[in-house]
Amino acid sequence: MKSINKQLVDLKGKVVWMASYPKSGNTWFRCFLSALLTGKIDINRINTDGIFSSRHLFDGVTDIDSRLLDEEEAKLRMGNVYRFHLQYSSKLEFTKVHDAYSFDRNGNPIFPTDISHHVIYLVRNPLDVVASFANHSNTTKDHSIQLMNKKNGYLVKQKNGLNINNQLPQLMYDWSGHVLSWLDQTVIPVTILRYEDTKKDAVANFQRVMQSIGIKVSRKKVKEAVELAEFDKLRSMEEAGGFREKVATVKNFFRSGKSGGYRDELTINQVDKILEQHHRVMTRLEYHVPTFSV
Amino acid sequence: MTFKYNIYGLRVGSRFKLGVYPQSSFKGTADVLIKKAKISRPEEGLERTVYKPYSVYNTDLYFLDVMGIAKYLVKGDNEVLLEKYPEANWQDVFAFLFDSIFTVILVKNNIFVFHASAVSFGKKSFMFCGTAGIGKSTLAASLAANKGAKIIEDDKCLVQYNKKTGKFQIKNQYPFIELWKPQLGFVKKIKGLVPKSRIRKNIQKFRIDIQEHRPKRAINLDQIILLNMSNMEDTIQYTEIKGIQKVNVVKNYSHMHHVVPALGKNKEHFMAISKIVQGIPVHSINKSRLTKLEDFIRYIEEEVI
Repeated sequence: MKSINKQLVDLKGKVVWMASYPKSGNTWFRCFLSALLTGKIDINRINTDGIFSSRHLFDGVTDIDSRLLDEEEAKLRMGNVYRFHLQYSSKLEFTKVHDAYSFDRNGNPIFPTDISHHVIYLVRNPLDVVASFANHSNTTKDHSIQLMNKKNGYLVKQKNGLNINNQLPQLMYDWSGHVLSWLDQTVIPVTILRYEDTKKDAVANFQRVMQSIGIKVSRKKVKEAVELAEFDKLRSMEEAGGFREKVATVKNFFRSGKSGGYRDELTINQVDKILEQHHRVMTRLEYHVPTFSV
Repeated sequence: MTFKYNIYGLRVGSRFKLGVYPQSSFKGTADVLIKKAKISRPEEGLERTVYKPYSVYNTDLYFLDVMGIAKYLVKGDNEVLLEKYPEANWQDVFAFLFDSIFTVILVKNNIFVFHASAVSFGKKSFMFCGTAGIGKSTLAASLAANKGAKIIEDDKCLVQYNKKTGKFQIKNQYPFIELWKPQLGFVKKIKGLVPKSRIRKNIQKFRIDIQEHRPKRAINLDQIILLNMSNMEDTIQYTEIKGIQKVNVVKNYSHMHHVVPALGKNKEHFMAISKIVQGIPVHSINKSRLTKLEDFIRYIEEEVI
């Protein structure tokens, strides 16, 4: 079997989009991948390839201060920015994405098909996302639900026209819209990775994902990487040395990581608000939809 | 007809009026001439040339296509050609001219500006360098609004050596500061600031005239402070940078430093930065995103100024 690195080099110039709604297991998967590729894990040096919405990358490639562009003008250029960036890659890249799969005003997808090797769509029961997202954003669960239900929801869209964050604004739609945008596009192959399945059997599921993108890796290697990226170890690392990807106002990024925790954290009314809008997509993803509410 | 401008010490002539930029007067030939022309993207295959999606550059030229706004071509060190897209307005054309293109013209003329804001307290000045969004403008505006500082520069700073005094100095070169809508509250509190216009129609950033506010003379530069931000604990780390490391670190705070090597100005850039940091102390301040603005400003007052 070729080494993982050689297999990645064979696919240079292409990218795997690790796409997810926030708090759906993206960071955990990136930690696993980092452990798989390097044999070690430092949560403040995760060895994957950045985030699609990086303002630093955009400005460096375009020679334009992106703060001078509106959202649509930026979108028109994002595909070319990434296409150019990949010309200099030495291997298959793994890039984190919270944007929905969307289009610029000319009808072109912002994720160029020609450079896209695969999408790993990481998804988590939206009922469990609520509390985790509220903690992550240092906001209330009701506000979190409001954003998850907002048809044109954004991440990192600043108020009053301020546009200085180190990430460009990311259109996510509502939770269902985000899922469907990625799963229903037909031009890039998609593998779904449910957070709950990973919790049950991380080794089998991470190995399945690697195989689906065409990377052969032994179960032993995957097991070693999974052990390095165990949730409790990541949390201990954060407690010991902080986590630079955490929003500053939040105590911990790695919180409980529990599946089904919503039963203790959400009111019936809050559960209802999620189910009302998202039960169809939840059913499609084979999540249990409590019958009392719908 | 030629309109005359002083841009960071360069004598610039333009065949058309550069919007709100104040005109200047000088005798003799301009160092740089700006004019309208038809522009095409330079051909493929030129030697030692960087080809990017929207820009092409080498030691002889710098081309930038801001789609829907304008194409710009800097030829050599003394000519700028500009072609506006038909649907664009001039306000937008100037926004990008004053930013990336001005910086390239300066680099071509061995003038390197820092991505920084600068304020003065009496006869001392301090330059705060940092990437976009780090809080340079807010810090400068806050120090001016609440602590009596004068804003010398807001986004791009030119440090110059005064042969007579043997000191490095900063003097206002760009006649505006540019603030986002939520920062405009500071403007009313600072004497001599005059709001002019939005930078672009669809961008909530405003150009403020500081000609009545700025110090009229060059002020000695007391210290260079490099601002960095992290998501870590709510602490502020203040570290002096020493030796050759000063050059290596500080040169990354030049505006558009990434284009300098391909423009053939690596040596000049290194020498310019090296000369400056030999005479000026350099400190790095790492602050957390948790740090409140008032706490950060108090820290700057107590520990830095």
